[in-house]
Amino acid sequence: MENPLTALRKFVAPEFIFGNGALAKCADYVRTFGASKLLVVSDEGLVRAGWTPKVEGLFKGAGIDFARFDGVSPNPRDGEVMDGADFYRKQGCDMIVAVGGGSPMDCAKGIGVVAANGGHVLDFEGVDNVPIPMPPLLCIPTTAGTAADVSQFAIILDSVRLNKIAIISKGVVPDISLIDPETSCTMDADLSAATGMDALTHAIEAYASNAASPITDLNALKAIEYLITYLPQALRSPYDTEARAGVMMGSLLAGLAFSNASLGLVHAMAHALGGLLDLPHGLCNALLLEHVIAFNYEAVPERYDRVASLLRGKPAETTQGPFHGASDAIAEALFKLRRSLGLGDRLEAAPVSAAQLDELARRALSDPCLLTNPRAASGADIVGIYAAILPRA
Amino acid sequence: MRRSSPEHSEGSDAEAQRAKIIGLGAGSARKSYYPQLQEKIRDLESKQLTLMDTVRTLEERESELELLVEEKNLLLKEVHHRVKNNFQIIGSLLNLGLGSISSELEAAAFSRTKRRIDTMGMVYGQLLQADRFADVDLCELVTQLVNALYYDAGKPSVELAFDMSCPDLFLDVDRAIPLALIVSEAASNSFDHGFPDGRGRLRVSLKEGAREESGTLYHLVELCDDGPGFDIGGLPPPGSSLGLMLIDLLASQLKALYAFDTPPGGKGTRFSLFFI
Ligand SMILES: [Fe+2]
Repeated sequence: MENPLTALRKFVAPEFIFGNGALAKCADYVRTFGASKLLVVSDEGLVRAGWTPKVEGLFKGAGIDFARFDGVSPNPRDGEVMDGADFYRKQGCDMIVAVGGGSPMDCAKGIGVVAANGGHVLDFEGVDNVPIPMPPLLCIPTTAGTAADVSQFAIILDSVRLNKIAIISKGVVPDISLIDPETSCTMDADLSAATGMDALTHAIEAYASNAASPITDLNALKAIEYLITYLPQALRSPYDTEARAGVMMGSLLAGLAFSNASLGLVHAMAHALGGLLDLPHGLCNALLLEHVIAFNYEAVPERYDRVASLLRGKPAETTQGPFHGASDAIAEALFKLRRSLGLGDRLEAAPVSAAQLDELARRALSDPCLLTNPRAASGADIVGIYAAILPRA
Repeated sequence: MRRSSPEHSEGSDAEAQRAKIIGLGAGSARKSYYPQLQEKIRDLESKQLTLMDTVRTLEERESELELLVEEKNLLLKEVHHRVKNNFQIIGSLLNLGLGSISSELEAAAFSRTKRRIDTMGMVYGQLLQADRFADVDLCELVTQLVNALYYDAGKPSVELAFDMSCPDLFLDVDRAIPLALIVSEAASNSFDHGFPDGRGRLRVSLKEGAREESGTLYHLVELCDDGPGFDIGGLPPPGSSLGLMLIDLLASQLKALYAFDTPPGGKGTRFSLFFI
């Protein structure tokens, strides 16, 4: 690994407002961007929970014209993005507001990219492949995990090949995010657990990334602290706004870390899994995490030692010297965490064939997240890790 | 010799890709609308320059045309002036000649010719007076003409009445001259023969009407005196009187119809000229 202190690094973050009541600033910011008509991208769940109507009510009160697009499913599909872009053009919108979790936010990014550039959303797969920047994007995240509200990532499902593609570009970093922890109180336990584990995975992968830097480290480590402290608490008492804010802050910090240091093998494998079997992203991460850490450990042991001490609730600053058996300690801590969140150890899915396993491994190998994993992985390594969490045919 | 193995090139591809992901690729700057904005501004600016150029060319062309028109108008005015002056000169020459003629008959023919010359000169005079270059107001022309002939006739007890209900009827010079000559002949006829005792009334009217069948608009000039009238058999044949011959010729030139008849009431002579 290069010396993270002297290596060339860059840190990109959007403007964001964090705290209870952040949402109420939305009309103000839309005016700042001079938009004449908004596309509000959301999903049915958020509409039912009342958050989307609440945001729209604020726009109405401010006399801001908008049109709602809520045809977004979990793991947003290319077709939905194209429908949204079509709707955007027909409605004559000139700014996008995303209200929701990763799905509406990623879909909103896809819509913005297509609205600005034309063509098909899958054409923009890859890194720095968005020539014309998308229209202004304001994000109001309502889950604490994906951090699409601060990241340069948009993950879209290619519905023909059942493949998750990544659009990675500074051009899809939102212009402003209003992070209001209160909006996350309406998440149910499953969603809270899955998105929380996604955030923790972001923090750990960003910290272990071969592109980590002092600034991303700062964010990643603090994120782990917040998440390990507040995630179980938020599950126990969903309307504890402090606990929710702690998880939201953890998610935000993890997002700032991974958007700049990128991720690793867990996400490469989770993308493949989520695409092929349409499984929740957070759950895939939660189950893969300890196995990938066991595999990666030898590459950056001192980093994982630090993670271990944080997961065990000991402040990183007090840890001195190498922490022996850290890999096992992490596995144990993660096991406990999963239990406290009501998560199991293996995926409950239909049995997976050997051919499917090979396909999964092939996709994970070509995922851009693998480029920053601290240890090079082979197809066989990846198949071995999948086998640990998937039921075999 | 250096060779790059497939693994090697794959490795450097991956390295480039990784650099881009962490924001260090070429051009992986933050989202910026500025280049697009600049391009739009440059585009608009160049369009504006082209437009301003076009406007300038058009303005130059316009002032050139204005100058040309002004020049043309000046020339026309000058020509009208000269024509009018020439008519005046001819009129004066005829006046001078009149003095040396002893035959009353010849003198009368001489002054009729002078009147016709003056009539034509009057059309040009009116053009200049109205500051128009191609056409004259017919009401004004007829009124002025009949008034002038009235004073020349020296019959102050004759009463003149005008009924000109065709304002804004303009006739170009080519048509105004024959029309003026026709009116001049008809009016002179009335002044010469219509008022033997030096009193009576001449009504002059100009009207617009529409033909019943086709709805075509026409105009009508009427000169009606209340004199002794005429005997249709007693009129000289058109070939023998120059005045009647002129009316006949000029009317056909104008594609106009004319008639002499007795007005309702059975007294006097009415001359009517219809033209489109
Ligand atoms: Fe993730």
